[in-house]
Amino acid sequence: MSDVLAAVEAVAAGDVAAFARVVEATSTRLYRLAARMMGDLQEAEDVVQDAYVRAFDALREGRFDRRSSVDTWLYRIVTNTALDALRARRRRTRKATDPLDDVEVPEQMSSAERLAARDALRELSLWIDDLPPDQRTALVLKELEGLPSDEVAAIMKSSVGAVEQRLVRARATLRSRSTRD
Amino acid sequence: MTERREGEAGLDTRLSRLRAATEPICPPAGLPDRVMRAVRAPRRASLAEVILLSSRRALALSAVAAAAAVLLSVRMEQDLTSAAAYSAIAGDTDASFDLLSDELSLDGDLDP
Repeated sequence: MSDVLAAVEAVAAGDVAAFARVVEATSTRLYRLAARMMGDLQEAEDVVQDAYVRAFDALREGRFDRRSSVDTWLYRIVTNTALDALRARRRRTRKATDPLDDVEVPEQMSSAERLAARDALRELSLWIDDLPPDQRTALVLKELEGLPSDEVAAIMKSSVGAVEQRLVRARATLRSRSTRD
Repeated sequence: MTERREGEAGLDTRLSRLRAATEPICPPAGLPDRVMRAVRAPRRASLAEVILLSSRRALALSAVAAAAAVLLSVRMEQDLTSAAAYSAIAGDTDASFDLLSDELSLDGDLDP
């Protein structure tokens, strides 16, 4: 049994402190996924925190059915939380300033990495912003996270064929946009 | 066809570049503590939970009110019957007759 799975079992059995081990082992990947989904590090932090709270509550209420791996399950929660946050962002009145101007990049990164990440997130956010949520999710999970199609399908609770179709559509949209640009 | 292949290659190049540039992203040092604080904090009920809780309370209150109404009506009926019987015994024939005939006609036992 992996360390994360052992920690998850401990949390489900009532050990709250064991959840810190789950966070420790998974936060880097989940935070990066949230950043790529949101295109904004501050919002990514909120999304990851919210996703962990949802995961914790699900574990305590026995709602983790163990049909998928812990990683897949957590990826699914972060993806869904990010999609909720994106919908909320669209509903909000747009501020006069560009929210991406206020991005705070974590202090652990070097300044060169910081600049590159900031620019890349800004570019990514503008590039994929108007893709439908399912295409955006498939693109981020497959092309940026580098996950295999069957895992993307498991995360999205969909078939591999449907994932491939979403990717084809997303790529066609982005390609036509690049041609126009 | 060639144009499309070039487009695909350009797309892959751009995706690879964005992937590489965002790969070093790591969470802020305080994130695990912030998460654990949020996990331990009492939850605010969602709108759906608030509605569900309110409707359960309303249902319980309605049930209590209905039971009280039934009890009260049974009690009143008993009081009325007792009052009619008392009046009949006391000789107030008109009043007792009216009360008794009202009650009996409700039960359908007396022809009008």
